[in-house]
Order: sequence, then structure tokens, then C-alpha cells
Amino acid sequence: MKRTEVEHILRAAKEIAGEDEFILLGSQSVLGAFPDAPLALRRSIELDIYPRHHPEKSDLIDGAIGERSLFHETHGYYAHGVAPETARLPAG
Amino acid sequence: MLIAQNNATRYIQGGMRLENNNKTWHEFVDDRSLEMDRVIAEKIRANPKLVQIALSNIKRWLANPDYSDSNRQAILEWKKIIETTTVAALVTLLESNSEEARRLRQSSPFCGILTPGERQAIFRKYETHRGRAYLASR
Repeated sequence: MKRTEVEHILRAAKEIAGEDEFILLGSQSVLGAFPDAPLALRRSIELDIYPRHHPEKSDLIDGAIGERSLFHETHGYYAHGVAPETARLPAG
Repeated sequence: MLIAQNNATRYIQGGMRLENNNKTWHEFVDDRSLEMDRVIAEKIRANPKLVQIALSNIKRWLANPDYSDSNRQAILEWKKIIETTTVAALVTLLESNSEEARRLRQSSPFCGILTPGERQAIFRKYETHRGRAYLASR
């Protein structure tokens, strides 16, 4: 994935969830700080995201622009609506 | 095609059992992806021509000059698999829960084979676990 594709997903997610701020997780989150990160780090067509203030709206993202959606079929990449616990580290 | 859809419907209704409540949401998402691929495998087994839909998706995505190089790499890997393996081997891969299959599944070109209703039924089945996984993490 590249930065413009991430931005495309974020624009779509904003429309769907009615939210302005999203947390990006997983391998593609590197594009936020490093748009030209090496290809090996960006070799995925999925973007893990959730709305920062309303993570429960991730289901709307999954439904509309998620895996095997019309969005995925049309553009060749998609969003995974994840939960904050996805990035939680174990105690210790 | 009708037979394939009936088989797929039966699979979704029976399908994979969601019995581990200690899973994270991301683990449920992996299971959901696997279940979609198992329904797709069932449909391809009944109608191998459905593989052409995946190849058509690949061709269309690769024809987009704005499609990123990193995405191309992931999709070309699938193109090679589909063009060089038998339908039986492909179906086995789709049904597999190996680490390699899970990695490939994240960049799947097998869109447009499930009907919207089949996809929705699988998503609905897993959706009840989203809130539970979220609350358990707090």
C-alpha cells in the first residue's frame, strides 16, 4: 500500500463512520510517518484502523470497505475495522 | 451455480464454531476471513470457472497505473499461484489455516464470489464477538 491509498481509505472511513480521527495499526501504519518506507514493509493490501473516539464504529468500516467488500473488489485494497486491544501489549 | 449457493448457505449456517471467548478481535477476524475462504472454496469446488473472477480482479487491479508497487507484489504472488496450481490445490490452500495461508489471505483477490448476502451472514455471525473482545481488553 502507499500513502495515497491509505488516504483514500481514511476518506472513505470518515464518510462511513462520521469520525475525523482514526488510529492506524499494523504494518501499513508505518506510512503515517514514513510515506516512502521500503516495499517489504508495505506488502499488504489491508489497513487496520479504528475511529479514535468511537472504536465501536469499526463494524461500519468493516461492512462498507472491509474484506471482500465492493470497495475491496473495486480498488484492490481494503480496511480492517479493528479494536484498540489489537495494539495492546501483554503485561510485563 | 444454484447448487453451489445452496452448499455455501449450508456451510455458513453450520460453518465454523465460535467457542473460544478468550480470543482477541483480531483472532476472530482471522477466523472470519478463513470462513469466507472456506465458503468460496466450496463454491469453486462446485464451479471451477469461478476462479476466473479472481483472475479478472487481478487483471483489473494491475491495469490501474496508480496501484502501488507493494500491492502489485502481493497480488502477483496470487496470480502465480492461481495460474500454476490445480483447482484442487487452490481449494486446499483456500481452506487452509496455515501461517502461509493466513498471510496470503490478507491480500486475497477472491472478491465477488460470495454474494453480498453470504458475506453479510458471515460478518453478522462474528460481529457479536467484537464488543466482547473490546470489553475484555479494557
